[in-house]
Amino acid sequence: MLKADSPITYNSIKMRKILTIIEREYLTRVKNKSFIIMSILGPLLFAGLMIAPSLIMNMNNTEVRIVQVVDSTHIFRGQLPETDYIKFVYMPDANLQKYKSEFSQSGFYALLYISHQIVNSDNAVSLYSDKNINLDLRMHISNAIEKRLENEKLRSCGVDPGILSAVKTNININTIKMTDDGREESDNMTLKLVLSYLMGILIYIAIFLSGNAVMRGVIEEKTNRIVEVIVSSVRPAQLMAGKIIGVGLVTLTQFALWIVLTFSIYSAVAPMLMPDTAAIGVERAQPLMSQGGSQLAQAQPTTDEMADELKAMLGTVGNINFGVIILSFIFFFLGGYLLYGSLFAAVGSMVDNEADTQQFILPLSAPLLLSIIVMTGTITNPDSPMLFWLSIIPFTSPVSMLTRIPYGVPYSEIFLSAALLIATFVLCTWLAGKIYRTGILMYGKKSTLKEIWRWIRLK
Amino acid sequence: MASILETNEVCKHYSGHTALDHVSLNVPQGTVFGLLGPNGAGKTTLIRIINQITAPDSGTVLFNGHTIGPDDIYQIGYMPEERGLYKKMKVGEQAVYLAQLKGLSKADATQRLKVWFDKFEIGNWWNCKVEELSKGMQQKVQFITTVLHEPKLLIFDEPFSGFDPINANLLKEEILNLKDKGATVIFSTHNMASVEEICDHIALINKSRKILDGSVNDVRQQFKLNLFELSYIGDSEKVLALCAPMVDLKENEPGAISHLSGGLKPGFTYNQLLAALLPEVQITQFNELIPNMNDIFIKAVNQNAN
Repeated sequence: MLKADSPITYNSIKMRKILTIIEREYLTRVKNKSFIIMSILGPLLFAGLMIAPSLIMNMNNTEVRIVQVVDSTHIFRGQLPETDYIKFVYMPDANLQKYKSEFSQSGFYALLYISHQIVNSDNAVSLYSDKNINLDLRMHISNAIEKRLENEKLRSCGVDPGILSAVKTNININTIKMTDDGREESDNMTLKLVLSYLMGILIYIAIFLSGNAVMRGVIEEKTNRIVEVIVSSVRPAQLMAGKIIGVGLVTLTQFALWIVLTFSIYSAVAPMLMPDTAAIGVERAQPLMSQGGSQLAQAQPTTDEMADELKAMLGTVGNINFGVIILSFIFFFLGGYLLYGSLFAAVGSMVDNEADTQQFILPLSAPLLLSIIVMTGTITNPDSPMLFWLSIIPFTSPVSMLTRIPYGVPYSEIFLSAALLIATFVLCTWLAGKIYRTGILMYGKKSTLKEIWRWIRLK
Repeated sequence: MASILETNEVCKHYSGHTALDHVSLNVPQGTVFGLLGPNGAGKTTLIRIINQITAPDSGTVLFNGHTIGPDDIYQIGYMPEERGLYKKMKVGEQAVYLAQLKGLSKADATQRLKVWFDKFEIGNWWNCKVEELSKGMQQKVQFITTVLHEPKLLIFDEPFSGFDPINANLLKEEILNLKDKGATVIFSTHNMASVEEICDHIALINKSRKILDGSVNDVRQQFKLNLFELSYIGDSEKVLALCAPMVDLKENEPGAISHLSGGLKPGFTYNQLLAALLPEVQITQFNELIPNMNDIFIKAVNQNAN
């Protein structure tokens, strides 16, 4: 039998009980089949989304297309650049009719006919095929022919084509952010946009789903009548706290698993499935990387360097402070979740079944929805005043502040918003606790706001 | 006898409705105490106050002589009227969890539970989900979790509701076992037969007030109607004539063995009646009809209503 003589012992018993509750709430959900399935399904989905586009592009590109060139001008023989997948075979004469009639047995992918009119007319080139000719082949050919013609024209004007490449300029605009302390940081708006959007959506989903899980747990305990058994052993506040914390830990575990598994799957599978996506990936990443302020090697990286490049890209992307982003995500998720979680618990205690929660859920989640809507509107204008205010007001700050963070937020504003969030969730938890402890023992009564107000004023 | 639990002038109001009106009870230690009353009388409210689930508006609750406090819950076991279990959780795991909330360590709880589970013959179900168990088995589990931490005071709110006769019997036996081991048991019920069988003391609550309390014997005596029944061999006419001044006749069945029942009029004693009858007839049976709890309940409530 336990003796709780001193306050110290008593408080440690109280703590132990909340820990016991947290343990139960956590383990029952984590061992649940649906949690395990979601933990595996999620990363598979994410990794798939990242790998699939490149895979598909690869599939399109694996066949080598051999184009039969029938050139009336004879200036293109051997001059058209080839790639791994596009090759040219030059016919000795310009007998278009002959080659057209033989085409179906020829095995060539397409027939490229360049007529005499090419110097004067833009429509002098035709591409014949019995297949659908895709865009990148057409673009490749037209670029090649244009370039060759330009060189020819220059030569006939007396200009050395070598001068042309010396003259060619490639302008990249470096966006540079001037910070308060006089530094200049290279900016990367695209990446920030992506991060901002991602963070906002993730936090919204995390808070909403976790809050929902808490609410359902509360309703379950009411409907199967176990709640009274438990509150004869612990205070309702302890049960509520244990449940909210337990569910929060489950969500964090879920996210951690997702990140780890997604990354593992991607880095394990990507090099195998997309050996040449490195090339395409680099082409896509080029604008981002060069804008990041450092010039990475222009050479084609090998597959093994893909991961290194990712890291390099992350590191070189100017002043996106990932430490701040991750810490802010965790903090604002926790703050927002504790705020909404307690309110969701209160809602759960007011009803007898999930259907009745509808009338309360809508007003409760309105601020979150608002912050998502505003996010999509201000995503290209992170300094908008509306976004600023929403990032300070506690009910919308989790989403809105995370939207702003990738663009850099003064620490004073972050602290202000954080302090308000903490104060508000303490207040809401206290309020929710009062509703919860009465609601869980009430059955059958339709809870009007007037009733609830009475519960709050009860001793 | 020392009292393990005392409530003094406990009052509780809900919006526009009084649940308890100056209810004072005294539960002697080591007894089985029946808390009776119609639905809505306030029994469950009182029980919740004793369990510190809600607080009284005024009045005090004393446990073992001191004002009841949070650490006293470890000495109390409570089985609510609305009782349930987590359906999707395994039985053994869940029982251990509930025991832990009552202060037992995981190891201690597991060990004790195995003993109880075997005793109730549900040991094979340890790893099954609660929803796989029959209702009777679930009730057994609920009982076990209530008594596991060997509390000094046990409170059962409508324990027999939903119990089939076999389990109800089992429950009664276990309550008496607990009493033998020194615990005190309070239970609220409508099942008057059980009150007859196992209660030592009762209290009757009606419309938020206590209208009756005392030991079962005392209460019975209080409601004695001086009814008796008599069986005899002899002349029935003569008997009726002799009884007339002393007895309000209720029933009379003449026969080879005649039967008679009636109420003794005030001012007379059974001895006087028997003295009058003995010379005339052969008396085969005589006993006083003590009112049963059911009748007492109804009578008390009706009296209170007027």
